[in-house]
Amino acid sequence: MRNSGVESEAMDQLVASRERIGPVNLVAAEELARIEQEAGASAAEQAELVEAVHRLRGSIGNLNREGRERLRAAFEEVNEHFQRLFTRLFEGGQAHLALIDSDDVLEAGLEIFAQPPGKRLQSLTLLSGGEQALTAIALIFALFLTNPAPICVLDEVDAPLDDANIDRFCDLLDAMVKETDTRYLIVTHNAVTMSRMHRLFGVTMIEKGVSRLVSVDLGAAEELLAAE
Amino acid sequence: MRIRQLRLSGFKSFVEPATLRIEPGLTGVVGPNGCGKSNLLEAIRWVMGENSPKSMRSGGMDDVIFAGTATRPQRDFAEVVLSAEDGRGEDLEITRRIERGAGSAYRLNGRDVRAKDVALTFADAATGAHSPALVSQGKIAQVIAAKPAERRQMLEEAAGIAGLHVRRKDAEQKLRATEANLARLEDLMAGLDSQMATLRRQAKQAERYTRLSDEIRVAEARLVFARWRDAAAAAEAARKEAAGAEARVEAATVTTREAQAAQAEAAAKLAEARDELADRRDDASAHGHRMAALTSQLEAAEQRLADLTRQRERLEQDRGEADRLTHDAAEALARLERELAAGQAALEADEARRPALAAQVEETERAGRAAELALAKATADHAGVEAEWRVAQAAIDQAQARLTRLDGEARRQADTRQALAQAGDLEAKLAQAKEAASSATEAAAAMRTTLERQRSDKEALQVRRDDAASALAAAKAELAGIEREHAALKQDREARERQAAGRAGRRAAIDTVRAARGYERALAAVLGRDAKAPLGMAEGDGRFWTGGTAPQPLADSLLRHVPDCPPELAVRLALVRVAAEDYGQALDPGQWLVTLAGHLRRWDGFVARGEGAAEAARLEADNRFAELSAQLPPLVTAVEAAEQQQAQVQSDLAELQRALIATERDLAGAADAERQALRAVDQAEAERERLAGRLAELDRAAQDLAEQRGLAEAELETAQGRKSALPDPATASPRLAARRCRHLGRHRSRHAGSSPGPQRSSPGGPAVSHGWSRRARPGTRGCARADHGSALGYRRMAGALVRSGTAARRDGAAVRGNRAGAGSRRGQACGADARDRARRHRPRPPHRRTGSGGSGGCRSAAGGPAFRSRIGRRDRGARQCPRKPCRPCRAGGERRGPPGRDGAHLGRAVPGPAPAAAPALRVRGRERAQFRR
Repeated sequence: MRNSGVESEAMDQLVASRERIGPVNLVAAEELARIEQEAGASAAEQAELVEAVHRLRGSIGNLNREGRERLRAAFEEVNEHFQRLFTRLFEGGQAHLALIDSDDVLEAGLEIFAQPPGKRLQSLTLLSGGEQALTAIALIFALFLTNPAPICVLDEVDAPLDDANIDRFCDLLDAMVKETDTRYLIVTHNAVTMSRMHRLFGVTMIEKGVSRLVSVDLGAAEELLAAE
Repeated sequence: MRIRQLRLSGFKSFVEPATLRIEPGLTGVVGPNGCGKSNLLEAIRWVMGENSPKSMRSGGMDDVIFAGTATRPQRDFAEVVLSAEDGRGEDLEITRRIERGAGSAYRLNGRDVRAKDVALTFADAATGAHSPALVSQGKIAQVIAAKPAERRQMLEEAAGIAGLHVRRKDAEQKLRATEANLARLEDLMAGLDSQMATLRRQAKQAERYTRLSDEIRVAEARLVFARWRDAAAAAEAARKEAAGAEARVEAATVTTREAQAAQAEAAAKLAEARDELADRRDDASAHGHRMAALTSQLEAAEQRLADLTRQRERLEQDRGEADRLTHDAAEALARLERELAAGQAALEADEARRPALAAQVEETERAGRAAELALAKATADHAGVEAEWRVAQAAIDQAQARLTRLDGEARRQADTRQALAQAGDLEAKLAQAKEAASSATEAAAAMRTTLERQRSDKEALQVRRDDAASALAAAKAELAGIEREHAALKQDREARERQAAGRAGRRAAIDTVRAARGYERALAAVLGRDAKAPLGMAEGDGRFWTGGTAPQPLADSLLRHVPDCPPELAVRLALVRVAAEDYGQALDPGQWLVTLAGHLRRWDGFVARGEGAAEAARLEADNRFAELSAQLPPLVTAVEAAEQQQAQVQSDLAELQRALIATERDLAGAADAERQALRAVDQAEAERERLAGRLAELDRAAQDLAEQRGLAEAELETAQGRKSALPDPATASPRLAARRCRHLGRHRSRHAGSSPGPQRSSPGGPAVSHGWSRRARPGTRGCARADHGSALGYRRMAGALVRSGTAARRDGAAVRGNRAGAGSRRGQACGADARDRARRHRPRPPHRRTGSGGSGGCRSAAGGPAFRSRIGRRDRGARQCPRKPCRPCRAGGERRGPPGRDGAHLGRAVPGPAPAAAPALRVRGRERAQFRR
């Protein structure tokens, strides 16, 4: 048993050491627990985010890979068709497609290198309008052939072509019709082209601003003509 | 999918429903410009899900609805239906309908579907709103003019990966967002981390704070408990003290009660004394009355005499008138004259007696006064003497007590001194301690010397050990080197021997010959290729040493340097001269010259240099082997010896180390012992110093004591001298008492003498009362100083007085009563009041006031047996108990009541001299006397 003096001294010492601590945040432990929880949640979220990032990167990579593969394949096929169609449309000459500007197929540009018969390999813009149109048609058909669609609409594609080229174009169309199951809808003003159609629809505007569709059955007309 | 027909209604310029059948093969659409051919293509694209108004050549999607013309109103909706047949041959009808302001909706076979579903449906069939197969006007020019990257999009359409870019862009966007989130989260977490660190620190602090708070709570509780304990102890002490105080109060109460009883008794006795005093006063006044009566008788007699004289004169005048009368008158006259004579005689006798009586009274009074004075003086003297005697006695007692105390002190000191002297063996102890210390120091020094020696020994031993170790190492290294070499040589040798054994036991020359050291090259050069030839003759071809007749070897012949030389070779060597250098010495025929380096020159001029190196090496190896073989055993022995020595040194060292440790331990012990011995010495010295100090102190104290004792003795002597100079009050007291008795006796006898005569007694009263009050004063003083011893004397004296008569008794009571003379302010005030009254009523005796403190003694309680007088008994009750003041006693009892109460107050009040109290009582007495009169 100690006397009150010693006790008082001990207590004073304790109080002094408590006072030495200075201001104290008594809810620090609770705050700490809360913040640790928060940190845990954040860490979990972070992990999730990291995983998401990886997943996204992976999927982007997948997309890119798939895209590259398919683009590369498509390119090869289109190029093949293009070369064939070009030669056929121009009855000679050479052309090919090339991916330029980048090693990555996905970023690269598609350039057309065309060499009509008897001409040097030159830039597309230096070709005549007809040649340009034919080249473009060759490309479009090449693309079309790569992924044949059930319907093909050509809106005044033959406009810049001369008669010889129109014939070749129409031959090509015939060949395409044979090759594929596609139905063609061809808008044209050219009589030669019209004459190569299996059937014709006329669009008239008798009343201003109101179109009318008139069916012209060429087969029946020929029969009619033949009957006369 | 096979598309069969397109039906439009209200779409752009096709306000009327129109149907375009799309058959296999080529379907041409013709018509003039601007009539709406391209609208058909746009309708196809629109139904396929085109959402860009721009590619529909319109500003907003609502523009595809027929906008009206001058003659037709605008339509509210537009509808395009595409009929087709899917891959399984089932009909498909895809409808897109747009209502003005309500957006467009898709239906697939009548079901409402989303645009995406429609797009998917077409995408499955490799077509769609953006299909490259739908070539609108200007597309050709676009393809030509387009940048390569734009053209790639066409390729992408063809590859069916048009959505890839979008999806990738989406994914990239999402990725960027996620990464941004991640970065933000990381920032947040970094912030949280720092916050956590701070909080952790704070939490630690808080924990510490809480812990400290808890401890403080505990400490507080402990403190409170300790305080409570202290308080409880204090309370206990207080309780004990209270109990003690209560006990003391109890004792004090008892004492008080006793004191009260004593006071009551004293009051009773006081009342008695007062009664007695009153009686005396009454007696005195009776005497006065008697005297007055006598005087009036005398006057009456004189009157009678005057009457008789007048009668005689009348009779003489009448004599003439009547003879008969004369005769009668003569007879009567004669008779009267006889009577007159007798009366005159009597008168004369009386007259004669009167002055004598008066003189006698006067004289008696004077004598009494003188006696009283003398008695008072004697009493005062006696009291003074007694007081002084007492003082002296007290001084003596004090001095003696002091002496006794001093003697006791001196005895104690002597005892202490003796005790200290008994501790005299301290010196011995000190000497012993010093001796122990010096011996310990010596022992420690010896130990240290030993330690030093051992340390130096150790160092020497260590040096020796190191030497031995290095020697051993060197020897071992040498041995190892030699052994290695030896082993190598031995191996060579054995190999050679095996070879030799393979050669059927024929030993080559070189195996048999041995050159002295340094001559190997020379010998090898001399032997040359022949060195490998075997000794002795053999069959077959070859080279053989067969021996021959050796000539006398030359003085410097090589033979001399070839110790082991088979006779076959001796011949060759005999004529070979050996020299350190070939400087062209002349050679006789058959002589060879060989240098130590192996240069050979023959007498015929043949010179061979640098030959026979292998042989030389072999010879050297042989020599080396022999040498090493010789060296090896002593080396082994030396190594063994070195090892032994090292082991010896090691063991010595270990032993020394052990000894050293032991010595160090001993030294530590010795140092410890030394320290202890020194401490003992210090202690002994300190003890000695303390003792010396104590002795010095004792000496001083003894000196002081002696001085004090001398002083005390001187004081005692002085006191004794003073005392012896004083007369013994014990002897003086009886004398005084006797004297008093005598005086009183005289007084009384005088009274007694005067009382029978009515006239003679009257003048004595005042004188007697005066004498009492005068006498009381010295008595008071004496008694105030008297202690028990002298009280005894008084008691004895009082006894004598009792025997000697009532007057003496009264006096004794007065004297004794004075012992408790005390008063108070209240008494004073009362006394003063009474005095005033007394003055008013009877201003005559102012001189009585000088007898201050005199008859206050009447209040005394310490009554002896003599005090119980009949007078005291008379009104004791009235005095003793103020509550019964009306008891009929003597006249004036009702008036005595309140003063009696005053008296009771006085008795309880603080004791001390009260000069005023006595007059009060005296006055009371006087009043009583007056009242009675």
